[in-house]
Amino acid sequence: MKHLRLVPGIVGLIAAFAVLAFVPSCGGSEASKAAAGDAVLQLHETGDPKSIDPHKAGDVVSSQQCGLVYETLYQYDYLARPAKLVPCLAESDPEYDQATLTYTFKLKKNVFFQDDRCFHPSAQGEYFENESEVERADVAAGRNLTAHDIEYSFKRLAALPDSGGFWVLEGKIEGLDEFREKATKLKGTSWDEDGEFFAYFDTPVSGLKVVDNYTIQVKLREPYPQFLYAITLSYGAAVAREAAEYYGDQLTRHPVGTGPYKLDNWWEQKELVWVRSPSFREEYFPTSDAPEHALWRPLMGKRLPLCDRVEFRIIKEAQPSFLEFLNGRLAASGMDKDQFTQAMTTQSELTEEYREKGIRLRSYEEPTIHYISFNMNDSIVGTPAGEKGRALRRAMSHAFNRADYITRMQNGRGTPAGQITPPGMVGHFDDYYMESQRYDLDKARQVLRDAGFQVEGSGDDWTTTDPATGKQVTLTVMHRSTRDSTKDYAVFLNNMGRRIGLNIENELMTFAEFLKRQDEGTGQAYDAGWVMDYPDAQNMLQLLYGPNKPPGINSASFADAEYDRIYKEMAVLDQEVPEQRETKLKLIKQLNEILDREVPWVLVEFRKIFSLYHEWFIPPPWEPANAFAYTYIKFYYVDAEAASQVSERKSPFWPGFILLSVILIPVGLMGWKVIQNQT
Amino acid sequence: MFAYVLRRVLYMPLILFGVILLTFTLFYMVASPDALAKMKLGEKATRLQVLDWQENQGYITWTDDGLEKRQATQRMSTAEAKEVVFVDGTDYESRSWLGLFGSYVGSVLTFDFGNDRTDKPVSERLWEGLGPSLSLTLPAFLISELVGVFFGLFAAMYRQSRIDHTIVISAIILMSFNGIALIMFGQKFLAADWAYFPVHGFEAGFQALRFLILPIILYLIITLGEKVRFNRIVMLDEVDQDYVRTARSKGANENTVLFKHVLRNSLIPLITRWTVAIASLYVGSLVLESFFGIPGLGSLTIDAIANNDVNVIRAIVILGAISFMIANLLSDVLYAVVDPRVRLE
Repeated sequence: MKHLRLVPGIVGLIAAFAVLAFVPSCGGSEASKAAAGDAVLQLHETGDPKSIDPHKAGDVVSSQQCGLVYETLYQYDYLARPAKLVPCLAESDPEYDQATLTYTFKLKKNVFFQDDRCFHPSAQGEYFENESEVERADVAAGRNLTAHDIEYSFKRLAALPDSGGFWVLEGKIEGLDEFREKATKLKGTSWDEDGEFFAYFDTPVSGLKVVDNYTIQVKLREPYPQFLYAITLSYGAAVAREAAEYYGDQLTRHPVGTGPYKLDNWWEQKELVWVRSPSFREEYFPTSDAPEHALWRPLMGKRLPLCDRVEFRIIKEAQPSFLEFLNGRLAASGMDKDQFTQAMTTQSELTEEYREKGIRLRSYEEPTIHYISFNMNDSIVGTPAGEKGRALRRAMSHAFNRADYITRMQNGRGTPAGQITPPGMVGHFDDYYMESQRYDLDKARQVLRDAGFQVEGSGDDWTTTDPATGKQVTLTVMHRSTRDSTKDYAVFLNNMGRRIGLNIENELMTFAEFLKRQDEGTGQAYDAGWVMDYPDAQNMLQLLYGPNKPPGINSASFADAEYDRIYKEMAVLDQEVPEQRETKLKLIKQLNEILDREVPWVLVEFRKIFSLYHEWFIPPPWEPANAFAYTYIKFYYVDAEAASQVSERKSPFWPGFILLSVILIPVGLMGWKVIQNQT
Repeated sequence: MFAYVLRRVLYMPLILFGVILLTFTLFYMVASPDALAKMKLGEKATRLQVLDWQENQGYITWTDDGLEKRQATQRMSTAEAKEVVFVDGTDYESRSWLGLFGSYVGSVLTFDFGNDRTDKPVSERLWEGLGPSLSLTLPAFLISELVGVFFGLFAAMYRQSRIDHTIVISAIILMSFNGIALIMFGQKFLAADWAYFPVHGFEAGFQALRFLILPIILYLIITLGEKVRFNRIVMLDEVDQDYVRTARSKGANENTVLFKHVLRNSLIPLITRWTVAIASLYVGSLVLESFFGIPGLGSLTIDAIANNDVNVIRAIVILGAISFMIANLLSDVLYAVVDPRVRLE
């Protein structure tokens, strides 16, 4: 039995390492625990938000987190369709003086910032990291929101060099660009260097005039009918100057807003936990008698927010998030390709098994478009190639079988795109489909022949030769991802090319590399997509406006004088004004027709979302408009009792016993052998 | 030995410099200042916003002509302003490669890797992620190595017996399973369907244990087959040696032969493997962390790659290079410790 002395040593070693390993695991800070009976809404994201600073939050995940804590002057009506703006921080609709291009906003008087250390007199002029824990714990009541906060917030959006959102105001407000020029230069890289930067906010901006504590006027430099939509993005959120100066660049991690929730904890890669803000004003769920709003009727008139706590769990992989959803630990879930097959019937309906589990389905079209943009400066496929280039673009477009792509690559989660504006938006025409975007292989080959290419072959195997070079025509499409699904898509494009004789090569790269190639204009074609920022077709049509050429957002470098002229005319028309709306629609149609003629893009699809939710969760009426509205979580409802019953689970005895036996029996036998050897 | 260790330590800065040069070149090519600005500001950022950001980060400096042009654009309409092109060399001066490289070297030497994409200092993220990663990989590594050595020894001692055949066949079966499939299977049945473990998540301190058991078991299953086979081969080289026969002829029982003589003499190849493995423990197990929601460095790395968080990727690469340099030095020293015949000169 001498060697059994080794056992305590080995056990000790493991224990020592285990302790060593666990001690540093206390790196992240834990969120507070939910109280019994709290309505807890658990949702998931695949990654952390980039920022919870509304003036830096450009992506959907960040904007949604900002929407929990920050508010804008207006918000999208939760129930009304089509999308409609209603006052949020503003008391009423703005007054607009067309002659002076001036908006006058009146603010609600009962809006307060959340209680925070930054409002404490002793915190003024201090940086939070220089204060002790005790000092930081000494919070003060949040103050009343005033027009100065709105003025400050517009200035801040302009002044931050790392704000991705200034594009919504660039060149639009009188004096703001000049303010930005100086402010960005004063911005240091640390709080200590920012003294002058903070002080510079006292400099007046001619286009921002505080009339009284609750009234502000904004003077535009040119007509900007999308202005209200633009400032309803998180970039238009009200930030308190005290908070921005106390937390400096770290405001992103210490949000202080007027919204319905307060950040309780953010543990990167794990979760973000929000709790109800006690200082949130009285706001109630909107009412409606419309029959299509029956699902929300029990909630109408209830005080917001409806949930006590919102937990965003960071779950990167599709399987665990779906399993957590099935176990009732997430209120809603999207579906990847495999999960879609598992949960849905061939008629795109939820299976009986899922329905019996209390799971429900909703589907809606997102205001997005997926397209392939050609580089119009390319010598083969672009403008320099003349008719031949146009023929290649048109042939590619005719050869793209959108229905097949949506069925096989997207499980039916999409609609073929035959025009540039997504369904549900002003500027989408139900009876219109660009001729150039219709799937027709014969026509594709004919277009190539007409342009002088030699097209030979049969079935699915064709060769298109350029007589000028005597070689098969090759086109390269660049992709912004190297994921397996992109590889499958590359094969799809490759096969598509074979059917019309084009050799389509695909370059899969990281997003950074993709952006670089796009900016440099070194690619032939780019697989791209766009999520609309607001419900105005201008947001989509700007992607082909000549002056937006790379490094701007017109990655196709499309330049057409007629298009540019009509776009400029269309962009300043307000779709909310009936007499302008008609003209605007006419111009949008004309722009589509130019695109139909020039084919700078192959339009692929408008993405359709299929999402599952538990019946104890009342989801939003998700249609396009809500994709722009990031403040809607306050309207979400969870039946706390029903939710807790679903997530309670019992473990069966036998599977565990059998598995344990399979592991322990051989180990035991070997241990027995060791003991035998000893004797 | 001291001279040898000192020499190796002195080589380290040179190797590190090589790594820094290589990573700088690679990252500069993949993520140019323009691309970095776009990643930070979003695709919708205008050219002027990109240039303002670059100036703030020290990548460019405006020239007087550029500033004048910039001011002139503010008097134009938005459409006219968009037509204005800012030219490198005329309107602004890009910072030289050498200058950028100098800043990069400085940041590596001071472990100041800047902020991650959420504006948190990278060094803080690394420190916070280290604990969860080690709490998964260290126990998993130790247990799997102990079990692997135990089974390897046993198979070697009883070679060509039923015990050996059973161990070898079991090892081959384990090696044949796809790791991802095993993780998905374990997560679905053991966690989601039968509820023996949580499906996903993590908590600080000892609360983490219940979230770690399943990933550790899966790590063990995924890696055990290969370890047992490797160890068995290493041990087989030893069991026929003269010293083993001598030990037996002196009357030592099989356990003494196994654990005292064979194991000790097999340590050199094992140390080589362990040191390399230990050096990469800090990144945890990339896939396991990602699947089970352990907020460690593996998960951070995957997140950084997915989001082009260049500062984090750089830091992880540098940290990896340093770890491997230390691990290599450690393995050389350990060779001399476990085998008196090894002399480090």
